[in-house]
Amino acid sequence: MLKIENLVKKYGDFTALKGINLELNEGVTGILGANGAGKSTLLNLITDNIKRTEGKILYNDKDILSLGAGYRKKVGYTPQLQGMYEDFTAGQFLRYIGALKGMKHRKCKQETGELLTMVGLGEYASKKLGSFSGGMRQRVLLAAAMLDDPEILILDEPTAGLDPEERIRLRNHIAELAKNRIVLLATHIVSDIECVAEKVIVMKKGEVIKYASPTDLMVEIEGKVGEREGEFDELNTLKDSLNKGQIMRRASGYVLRLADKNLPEDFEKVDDITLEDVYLYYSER
Amino acid sequence: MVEFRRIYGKKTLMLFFLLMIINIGIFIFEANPNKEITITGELLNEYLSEYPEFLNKTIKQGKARTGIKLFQQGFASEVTSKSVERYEALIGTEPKAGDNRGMVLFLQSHVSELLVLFFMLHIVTSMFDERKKGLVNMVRATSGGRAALFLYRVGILIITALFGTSIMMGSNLIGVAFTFGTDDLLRPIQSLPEYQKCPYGLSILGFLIVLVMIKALAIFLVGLLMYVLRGLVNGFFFYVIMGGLVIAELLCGILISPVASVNLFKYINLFTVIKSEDFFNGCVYLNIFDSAVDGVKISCIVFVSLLVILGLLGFMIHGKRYAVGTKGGERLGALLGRLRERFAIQHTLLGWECYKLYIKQGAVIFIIACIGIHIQQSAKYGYYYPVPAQEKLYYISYKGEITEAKVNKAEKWMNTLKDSQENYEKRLEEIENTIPFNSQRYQSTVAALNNNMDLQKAFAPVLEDLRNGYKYTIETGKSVSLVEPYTYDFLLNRDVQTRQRAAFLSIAAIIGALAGIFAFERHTNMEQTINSTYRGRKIALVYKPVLIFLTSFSIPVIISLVQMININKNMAFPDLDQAVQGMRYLNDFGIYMSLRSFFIFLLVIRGLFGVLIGTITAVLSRLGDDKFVIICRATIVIVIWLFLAELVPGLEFLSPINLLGYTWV
Repeated sequence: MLKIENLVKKYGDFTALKGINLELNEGVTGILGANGAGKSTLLNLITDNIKRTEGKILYNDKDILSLGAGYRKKVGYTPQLQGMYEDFTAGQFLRYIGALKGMKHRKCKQETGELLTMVGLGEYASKKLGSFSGGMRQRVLLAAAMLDDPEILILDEPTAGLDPEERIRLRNHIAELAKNRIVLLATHIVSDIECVAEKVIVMKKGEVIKYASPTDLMVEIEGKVGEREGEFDELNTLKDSLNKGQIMRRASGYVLRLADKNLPEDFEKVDDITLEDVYLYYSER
Repeated sequence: MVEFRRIYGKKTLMLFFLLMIINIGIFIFEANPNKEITITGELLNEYLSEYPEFLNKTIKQGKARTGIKLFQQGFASEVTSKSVERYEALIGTEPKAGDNRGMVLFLQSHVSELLVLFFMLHIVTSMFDERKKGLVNMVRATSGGRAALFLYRVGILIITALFGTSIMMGSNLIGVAFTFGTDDLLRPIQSLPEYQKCPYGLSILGFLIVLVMIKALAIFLVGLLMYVLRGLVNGFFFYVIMGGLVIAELLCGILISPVASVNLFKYINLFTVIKSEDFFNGCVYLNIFDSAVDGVKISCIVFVSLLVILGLLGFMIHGKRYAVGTKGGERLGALLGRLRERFAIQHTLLGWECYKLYIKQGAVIFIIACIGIHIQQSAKYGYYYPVPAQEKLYYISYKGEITEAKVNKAEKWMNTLKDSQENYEKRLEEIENTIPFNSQRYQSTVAALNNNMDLQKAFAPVLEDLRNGYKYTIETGKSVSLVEPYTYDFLLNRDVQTRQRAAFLSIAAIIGALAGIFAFERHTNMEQTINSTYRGRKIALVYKPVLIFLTSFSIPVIISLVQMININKNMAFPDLDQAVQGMRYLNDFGIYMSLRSFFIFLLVIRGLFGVLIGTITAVLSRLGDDKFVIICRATIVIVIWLFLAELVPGLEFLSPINLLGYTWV
């Protein structure tokens, strides 16, 4: 179990994280939040890439700082920026990461082949990373994170820039990997979390707004999501005046969908609440 | 204009600035006023007075040869008759005396052209940045993104060639003017003995202008060729083909004789044109079907035609060709990749760091290039030390442990010589005062006195070494042997030029090799990934410092060894097992050790100063993410350090060149 107690991170006068408390167990936990919500800061603290200002991060009741390199041996991490050596082949890159993870030579070579096959890049082991598409690079990074079978897998925006087919493929890989390990998936693409996450952390301005299962989150805002039909310009004007909501196109025309505590009367309540509504409900408040 | 601003951004200007520093640095090392650069004084006057005779003789011999039946037909005959005509046009040319050292040094140096060519390569590579950044399709989709862009780029190449050549060579000219002066530049070019055979009636100034224009044109042509080639083939094949062309042209220029039936390839050769010497050191005629055709005219026609062809080709390629890779390149890349995976080696972490530094970041190229340049320059340098014969005989006769008896014997001999000197001087006085004056006796006494003085002069340094060595023995109780000093004098004292070049190249190699050691991770956004792994932090704490130490220690040591090996080819290293205190200059060296140990000690000290340079570079690398910018910053730091050390009196020994170059001893 990964426990976070009163975690604070300040950059000068700016407080990026304001006292986070969480308990993370096996399975996929999604972290949802807008840009600047503090998702990457939280992940960098969990991977011990940046120094915390206050608080603790405990793994199996031991502070990760005291565990040191032993903790990092259990962590697999894909950062937000797709950092890799473009002149390396996929196989070389994985072997290099394997060396960084302290793997034995034979085991590293074996796992390199297996993981590349698992992410569908078995034939591309000898190709240079510079020639890979965005989706292929992300899969290589996922395979690299999975080397040495980490107990904690941290994925920062793993599907950013991928086409729908690649996003689905990656989500399926992630879902398979989540058995018997803690997977933290940070993203602002709601559908990624909706499909795979067992629990969702909603973050806003450095705070955890909500931490519950997707179903519970959606139930919580029942009756607070509504739609109003109208002409595009009219709905646009209304949206600007409310400063929230999203205009959607239906077969019958345009609708303004709003997720708000105080839903205007002329908005018709809807039953098909999604995680996106939850995200908008909390992020626009 | 926009394209010009894009190409000539901060990075390009910094590179040019760096190349200027290298250019000036190399030139300063070569501009030693004490070096024998050309003939001066009496010898020069002799040459000048004999020039008209040389001209007449050449014309006469040429005419005589054309009179012989054997030489009345064919290439050789035409060369002779045409050369005669050329030289006849020079009758009346009056070369004048002056200080030619500056001009000769300037004209013999070809480093500037190499640097401008390297800069041109950078400009051409920058022009293809859009491919690397995936902007080709965006650029080509615009109205000005094809042929018009090509014309702008040709303009940039012309500006680069013209201004690059003028500025680089101009700075050299200013350097020689400052050191030696240029004297009257309106003198005929034949005033320089090196250009005795120049068949053109040019002044030195006219010659300089023509030379710079020719070099600029040739460099522009090379730039255009690089651009067209780069447009056709991808990166790896471009360098392979360019490398092949360079080697082929260099070999043709060096190996083909001026009168060979294929001398066409010697002169219609971009590198011969860039060097230009061959065209001004005699009459150049090309063998075209056994007829002698004016080499300069043909070269001009060929290169102007090449210019037009390359221009048209470039225009068509740029306008028409689609941005696709070559199949050949992809297949080769795939094959190499498959081989790499099949024989995949799992390195240790240190092995991976070595692979990243030396192979992927190109450190090995910097190291090999600098060591290669040093070897090549050392091979051209004549390691000649004029050993005084009599002095050497005295060293041999007094060889061995310095004892009181030996010193007394030496003192006695010197006293004997001094007594003899007195006697000869007295005798001379007597002879001068005797009437009649016996000139024969006088001359023989003078000869004996001169011989005596020579013997004293030859023996004086031996005696001083014996005295100093014995003084050390008395003070410390440790035995010292007399050491023949010539090799060590040359190595540690006289061969300043090689040591300074070695220091300069060591610094260049260290900076080039280590600039990216930390920056590479930041540049590739790998820092976070590495730091989050089990052993990732050990890389920065252990493995990289080990690499920094090994690289920056070994580079100056290897480069120093080049000098030692070259000196050893001509002069032995005697008495290596004897104490260093037996050697001139080192009589009061604080540590009692053999010469062998002393040189190992010097190499270690040099290596450690290399580590200092390497550490500075690594620290700068830690603070940046662009290797090129870090190289520039490190160079600026070293240059500032150098100037400060040179400016403050008494601190010259702290300059990085001196720290790495032995003179601090």
